Amino acid sequence: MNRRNFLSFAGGLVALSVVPMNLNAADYRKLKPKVWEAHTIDDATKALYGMKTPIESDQIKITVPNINSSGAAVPVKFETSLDAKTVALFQDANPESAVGVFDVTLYDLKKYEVKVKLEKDCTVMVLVEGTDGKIYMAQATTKVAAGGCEG
Amino acid sequence: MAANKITAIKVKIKNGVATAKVVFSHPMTTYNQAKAKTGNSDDANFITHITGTVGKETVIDISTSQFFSKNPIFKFDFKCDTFKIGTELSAREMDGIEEDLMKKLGRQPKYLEMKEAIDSMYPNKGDFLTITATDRKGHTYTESVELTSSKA
Repeated sequence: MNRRNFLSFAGGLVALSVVPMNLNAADYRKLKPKVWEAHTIDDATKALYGMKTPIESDQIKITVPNINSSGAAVPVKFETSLDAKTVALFQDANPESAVGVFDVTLYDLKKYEVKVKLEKDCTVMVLVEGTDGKIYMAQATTKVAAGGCEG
Repeated sequence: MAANKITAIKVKIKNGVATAKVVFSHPMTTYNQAKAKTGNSDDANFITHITGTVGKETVIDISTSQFFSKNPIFKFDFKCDTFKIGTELSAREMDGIEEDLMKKLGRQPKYLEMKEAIDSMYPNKGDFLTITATDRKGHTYTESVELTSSKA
């Protein structure tokens, strides 16, 4: 076996060892690729959860600053007390609207804080897929003085 | 440019609830940013998946997009009452142990001697929280941290 063959063989082994880990976790980039290309919150919601209409819920809390001097890193805090399968974070400022899909595990307390890039004033929406099959949502608006996406 | 990596993981534990804070060092370029820079939107590179595990249990699992900020920071809470929690020593306790050793040995204790003394006094070790992140170019970043809390 020459060196080139051996290297490609080794590469195959590495790929094999990585696969089981990916199966274990739900990778929504592969399961629902259309979510990440959707340009509006509505389209992203449909791509992720189908045609169900989200119900507004006060058991989801979102905290965003009222106004940001820069959109480069806007802290978005959100939590829910609903029994959830997945939690999704969307916004309508950037070219695509999906920010992240959180797969709720047994140990997850559904309380997150992430820093997000936002290009302009926008609505941030959190969607929760309940274990009862319904979709719940809550939204908040924030203002951005200087966009953080194209810089 | 700084190397892409997980810069820090900090875990605070209170009443069986752990709050973990994860800091990445990553440019997180969007498609538009990549196009403005190199002319090819396919050069965009961002973290696409983040998983946190303790032992065999998954505690956090996120599919992410390019709109996490540059050098992203995120925090999350998880239940940790079923995991082993180690003891975190304060600087004062460390100094106390070091002083006792110095009296015993008559010289400055070496790092390993110090470690041995701490291990014999506080044998309980916590489970490790491991964060694994994958980015669009296929690189994987892994970092772990021991779950510890100071004595109640």
